[in-house]
Amino acid sequence: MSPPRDHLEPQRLLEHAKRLLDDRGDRGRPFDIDLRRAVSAAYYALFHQLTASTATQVFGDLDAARGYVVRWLNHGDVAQAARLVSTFSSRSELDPRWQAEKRAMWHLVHSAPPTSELLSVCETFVDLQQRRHDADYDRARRVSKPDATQAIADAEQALQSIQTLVDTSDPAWSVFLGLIAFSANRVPRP
Amino acid sequence: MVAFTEDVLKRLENEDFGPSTLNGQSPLPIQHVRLFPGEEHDGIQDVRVVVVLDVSEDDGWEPAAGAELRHAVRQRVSEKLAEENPHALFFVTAQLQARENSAADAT
Repeated sequence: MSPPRDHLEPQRLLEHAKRLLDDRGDRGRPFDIDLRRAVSAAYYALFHQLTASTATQVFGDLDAARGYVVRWLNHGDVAQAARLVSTFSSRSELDPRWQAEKRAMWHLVHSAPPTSELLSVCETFVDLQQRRHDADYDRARRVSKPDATQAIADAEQALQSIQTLVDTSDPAWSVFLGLIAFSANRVPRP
Repeated sequence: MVAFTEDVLKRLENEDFGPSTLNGQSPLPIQHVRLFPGEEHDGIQDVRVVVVLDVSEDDGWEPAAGAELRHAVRQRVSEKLAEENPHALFFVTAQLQARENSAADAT
């Protein structure tokens, strides 16, 4: 039996975001509201890729992982895992003033040093989340076409980096996905 | 309490991130750079950098150059923050804005 179709496939979200840039408003520019939605769609392309990758990493290639488990992961969990990997990898030495949890995190991140691809994914994710918040909630701020174009390009580049991480079986990628999964703690209790 | 307050970031912004300092290495013309304190998440503080470019929305910018600039700015700001407070844990986010947004941003 073939797996159910993923209606939020990241590449389809990126295509959607690009189509929004092509629509023209009355001044020959994209409508402002379309630019906001394009930034949001670019962010969601990366978010859905990361949650799908995490579910697959933990549960394997199961239909339930694709369709249900991904919903246990939220935006804050993914962002915090990205912060942890980026922040602790940038510290070349362990700070003796840190509490045990932070020292353990430093050791974990440095046990599989992140590649530039992974660091780029982490930084892009938190950046894009901020831009998506602005686009979705900040009614006073204008979102320009360059803003939206940059968001789409950044998400596209991050998806390519993820493919490289998967293709090379990067151990730091596994650490990152593990941090997302362990952050979640939302498994429904019967 | 967050490690980098608005006052600290404003001082760094004035001392270290003027256009003349950054433009020499930038693939895009920088009008100015602003630093804002963000929330702390389990001991890691977000520091938000907004780079206002000296280009209009119609000029736009090449996304590859934009990505390169964001990376360079993040690196430089991270180095300065680490010098300022070597014990702080922080995460720098960087955003680019076209010139036309700068008036609204300044208010």
